[in-house]
Amino acid sequence: MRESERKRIFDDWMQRHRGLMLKVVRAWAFAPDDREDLFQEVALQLWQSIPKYRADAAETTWLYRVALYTAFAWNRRERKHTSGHLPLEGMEHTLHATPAARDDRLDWLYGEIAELGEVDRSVMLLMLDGHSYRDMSDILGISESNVGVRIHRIRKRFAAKAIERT
Amino acid sequence: MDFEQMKVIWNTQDERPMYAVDERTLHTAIRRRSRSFRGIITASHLAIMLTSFVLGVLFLAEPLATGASHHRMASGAILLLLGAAQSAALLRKRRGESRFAQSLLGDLDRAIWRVDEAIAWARALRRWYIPPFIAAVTIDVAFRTSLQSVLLWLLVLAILVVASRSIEWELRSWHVPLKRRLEALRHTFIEQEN
Repeated sequence: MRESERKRIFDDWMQRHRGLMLKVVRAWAFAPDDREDLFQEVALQLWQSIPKYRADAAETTWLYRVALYTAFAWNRRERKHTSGHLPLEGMEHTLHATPAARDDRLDWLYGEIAELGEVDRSVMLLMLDGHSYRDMSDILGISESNVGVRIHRIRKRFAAKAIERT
Repeated sequence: MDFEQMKVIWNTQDERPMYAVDERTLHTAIRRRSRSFRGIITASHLAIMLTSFVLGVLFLAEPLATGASHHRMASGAILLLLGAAQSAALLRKRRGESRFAQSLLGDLDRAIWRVDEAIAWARALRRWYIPPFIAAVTIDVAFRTSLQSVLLWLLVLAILVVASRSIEWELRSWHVPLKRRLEALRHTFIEQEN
């Protein structure tokens, strides 16, 4: 694949699916430097995945799969720049928070999502983004009944948390 | 707050972007991260394959061209066979990559398989590649009596010992712990299935 074609696809994905990437980043990384690090890592993995992408898979399915896997792998690496530790030296800053970034309700939601295990966290993101049981099963590689059990557990948990909050 | 209300809050992210992205800086960051170190095992795999082929050809070329130093043909043949075995291992690895499911769990299985392959290759290297490599160089040196040849032999031995220790270190400090973490994550995926 030519470099120009790859760049065109990457820039197109960044334009149209940036929100998806940022949601995964916010759900896995909590300090500004960690968000920057994870965002760059997700972008890198998406870039490297482009030659393997086949148009028979939906773009959002592919992007979610790459972004979530990158988040899982990133979460397992030791990072000196986790909150309260050293900032990542020499890192370029690609993310700039906008005034819309502060939303207490959204912060609460992300805080609760962060309390979930990684697989449940992935299910929650996909569920909030309107994916079907079938989509979630395809993306994660687990059965639809497994998805159903997780969704039931997540809904119950969030219903209790929402009551606590009010 | 019910789930539908949570979805409304969630969807505000699509209407009001939380972050602006500096795309030029992002491209620079991607290029920098692409160049990061891949690991001693990967580097040594490629290095041994290339060195085996190059030395094998050089060792064979002299006796074929001059009719002398026939002992080098044995060394050359051993090294070419090592290079061929390495290439076959790499091709087998490439073919193996494509047999996993196109899903997160499939990606996890592929990552676990890659770690298993790296561990198996590192062990095979110490058992089946380093000794024949040393044998090939020893055959060549045994027919010479110069100090230079002996020093060369010692240098090759030292490099291979260091490579072997480095591989052992990478296995212990990186690949084996990584495999444990990946398998633990895999367990969380499938726990509901049982």
